[in-house]
Amino acid sequence: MLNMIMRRLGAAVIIFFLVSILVFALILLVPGDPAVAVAGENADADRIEAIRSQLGLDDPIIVQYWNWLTDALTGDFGNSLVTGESVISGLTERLPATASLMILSVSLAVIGGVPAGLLAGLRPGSVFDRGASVLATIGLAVPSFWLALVLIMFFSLDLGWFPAVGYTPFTENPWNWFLGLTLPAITLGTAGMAEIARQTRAGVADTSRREYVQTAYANGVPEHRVVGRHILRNASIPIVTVLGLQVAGMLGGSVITETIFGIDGIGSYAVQAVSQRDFPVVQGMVLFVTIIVLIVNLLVDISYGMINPKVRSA
Amino acid sequence: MTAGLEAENAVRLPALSVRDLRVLLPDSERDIELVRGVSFEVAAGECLGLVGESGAGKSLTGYAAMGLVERSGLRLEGTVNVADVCISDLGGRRLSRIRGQRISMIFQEPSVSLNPAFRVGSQIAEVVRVHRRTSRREAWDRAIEALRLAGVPNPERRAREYPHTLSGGLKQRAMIAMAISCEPEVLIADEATTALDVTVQAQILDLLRELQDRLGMALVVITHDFGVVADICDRVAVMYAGQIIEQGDVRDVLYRPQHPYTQGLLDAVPRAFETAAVVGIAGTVPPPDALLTGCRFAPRCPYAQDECRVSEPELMATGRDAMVRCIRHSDINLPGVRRAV
Amino acid sequence: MTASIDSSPARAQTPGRENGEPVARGVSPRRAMLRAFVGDRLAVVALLVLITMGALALLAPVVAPYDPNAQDFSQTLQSPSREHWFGTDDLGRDLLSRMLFGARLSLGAALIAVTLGAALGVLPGFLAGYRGGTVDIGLSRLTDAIMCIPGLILSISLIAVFGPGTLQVAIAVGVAFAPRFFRVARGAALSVAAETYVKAVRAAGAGHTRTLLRHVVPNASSAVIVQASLMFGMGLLVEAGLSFLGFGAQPPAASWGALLRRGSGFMVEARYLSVIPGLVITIAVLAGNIAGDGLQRAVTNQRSSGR
Repeated sequence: MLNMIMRRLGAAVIIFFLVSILVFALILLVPGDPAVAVAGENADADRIEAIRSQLGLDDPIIVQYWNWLTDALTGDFGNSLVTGESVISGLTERLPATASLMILSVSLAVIGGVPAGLLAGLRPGSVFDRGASVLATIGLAVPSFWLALVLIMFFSLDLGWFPAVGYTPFTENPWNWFLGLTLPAITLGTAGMAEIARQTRAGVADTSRREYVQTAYANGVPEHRVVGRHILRNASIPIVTVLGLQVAGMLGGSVITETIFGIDGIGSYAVQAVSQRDFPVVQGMVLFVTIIVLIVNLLVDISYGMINPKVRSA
Repeated sequence: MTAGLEAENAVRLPALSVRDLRVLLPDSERDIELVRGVSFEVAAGECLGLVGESGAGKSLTGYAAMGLVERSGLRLEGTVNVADVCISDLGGRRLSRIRGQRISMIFQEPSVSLNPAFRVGSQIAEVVRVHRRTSRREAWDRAIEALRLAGVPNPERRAREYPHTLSGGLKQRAMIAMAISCEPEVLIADEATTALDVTVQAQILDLLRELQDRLGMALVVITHDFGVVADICDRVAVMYAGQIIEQGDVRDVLYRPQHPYTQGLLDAVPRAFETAAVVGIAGTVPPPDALLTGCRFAPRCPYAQDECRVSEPELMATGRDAMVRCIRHSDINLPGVRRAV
Repeated sequence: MTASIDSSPARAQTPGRENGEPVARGVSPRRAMLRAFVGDRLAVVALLVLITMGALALLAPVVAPYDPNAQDFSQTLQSPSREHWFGTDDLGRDLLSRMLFGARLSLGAALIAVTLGAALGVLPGFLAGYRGGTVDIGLSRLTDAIMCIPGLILSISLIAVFGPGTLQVAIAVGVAFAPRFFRVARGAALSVAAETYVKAVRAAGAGHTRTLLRHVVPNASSAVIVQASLMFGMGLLVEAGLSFLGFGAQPPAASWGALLRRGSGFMVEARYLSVIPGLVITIAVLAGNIAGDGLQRAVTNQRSSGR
């Protein structure tokens, strides 16, 4: 098990370096003089020079990358070109809001998706199965931003149950924290719920046909135990896989959801930075998000090992 | 009914009795009969072989006897009794209590029949705990005991291992251990040796015989291989196209078969591992939805005459506990086994 | 012993049939696939919806009742009516006409994104799958790295580089799609290259390029086409999302996402301005996904019945 974790960790480190090169290369892709692009066409020469030196564009590329990477590894992602604020503190300040949103969205997706997929997978072809499949198909097609608007119209403007915008930190008022995040979590979690339901259904339907499930039945293990122990345990590998992918997808989706609901998290920070072509923030944000994804992937790999003993010894 | 009478009944009743068993695949036009009225009995301590080509319905008969077919959308008709309990009427919880406790089954593919996610011992202990009121500790000990009975060397260590670390033969022994962990009255072995190496096959057959003696079980061996039948069974029922076409004492059937199909199967014995088709008989088993009048074997039968295609023959008694489904059985003379099996 | 009836009742099937459909014999695989797809009524309807949308987009100048950018301040924020089926926006512009012209941008951007993704991903994928070794390891690692960046995050950081605009968004989405095409193409090439006949061709002395073009590409291409069709809906969705954030077409031009963005400013007084574009996007994405799923099923069935 430890062996496997170490190997995965090694792979994650390699991928991190590759991503860091890609992220660094972003600024090299900017057409024309990046300093001019960042400063804007009408900026004066002093401003352009200031940006040029701040971005370190005068050094050879390798040196630029090296400086940028070593700084990044010590947690220094540079400063925002717009506000001058340190990027890392900009990100960490906004992390609680994004993390709150993610936790609620993922929980919602799992609590809704797994039971629905389980019931559908145990009775393939049943009315419930077909209904769930139709709902999942629709859930995957509905644009999150539109869903958000519809939710706001109905639950905020008409019924007034939830605030339309704004985020209250948990430490300030847990109830308002929950109220404020309910609609965003539904917005962000719906597609994930649909995808998790689909994968759970497929996994459960597949596992139910396995011979060892037959063995359990043939030896008198009652149905609830067969489902809860034998089927769910083995079907959880695809579920965990899709869960990992969904966390990454939701991190991306937070860009839209946070913007709509006025949540000052990493997603809306990213949108702001992109609009202002604030490259240090964009780069820092991408690297930061990638690290989160790599950690999630590692957790997924570890849980594979816990579910499937074959992976553990491999 | 007094307790004494009940006990007396249990002794007299066959351990497993199957009456007019039918398995139907529901279809929009008409249900397709996969097993078409099978009846047999197995007494305690007795071993019955169910033989036939693939598609004969012999495995399905075994699954049906376990009440395992309805879960896959098939319908069951007829009755299955384990001693005095009619299990074909039971469902859900009450059926679960019988399965594993009074009637068990082992399957063809040991490599996929154990759950890869759990330790071998805990899978057996689970069965014990489902049926017996024991502590975890006792169930685990019993699982180790069952593994030992099933001839697994070093059972304490093996119990802690996961299925993928075990060889095919050991996995099948673990499956057997699970099946006998609650000392059932009936054990059904569905092609239990087919997937194993030849040397391991013989060991597993010996083990089944030995366990049967020790536990006094009724044993049903489902196989396509007459060699296995000759090795272990007391009686044999030959199945073709969802029906029993010949039944009797193993020696009688081996040396004096009455049905041309049985003869064909006997001729195929040396090559049983190379091909599933019966050598010496052209053609294949008719699909279950084929509309046939007359004997279902007639199209492939070298002895078939016009009268064979008129109506489906009944199962006729030809001796004490010997039956055949062939109207020409007294006209034709079949050689039986041509060489020592 | 491989008979389905015998090995497990769970897989019990009527012999001679597959999935309840009679197995067609002597029909070319492509025909069989087409037949399977046409038999999938829902997928055909979905495809027809998409084709209709595409045709309306192409014919927008002819069919649109109004100039999409013509402002009419006597007709601002009019609810849907006989004159304006989808209503008008705050500047009195006809929403139906704007949706029709927006379809060109939305569908076009999705198409470009998928095409670009395929163009960037497929060839390296074929190469990696066919050649294996270092080429494969290098390209696969790079793909892994790109896939660790959530798609939307990758797309917006590329927009930071290229700036906003329909084409820029399409490119950004296309780049984010490329790794998926790479994986599909690699997998398909890998399995084809492992087939005996390809090995035989190679052993007979056929060159790499020839083998790749004659044998690997045609046999692996169906997987790529299926992937492309599956990605179209997602392309629409992502493009709409980025336009909604304001990174897409710049005013006065507006794709569906941009129309929704503008409409969202009038949630109190003119709900149809956000409901209608959202509904149209949903229908288009749904149609794309269903058609893609149908194509995938058709290809899988063709494969399983062809053997």
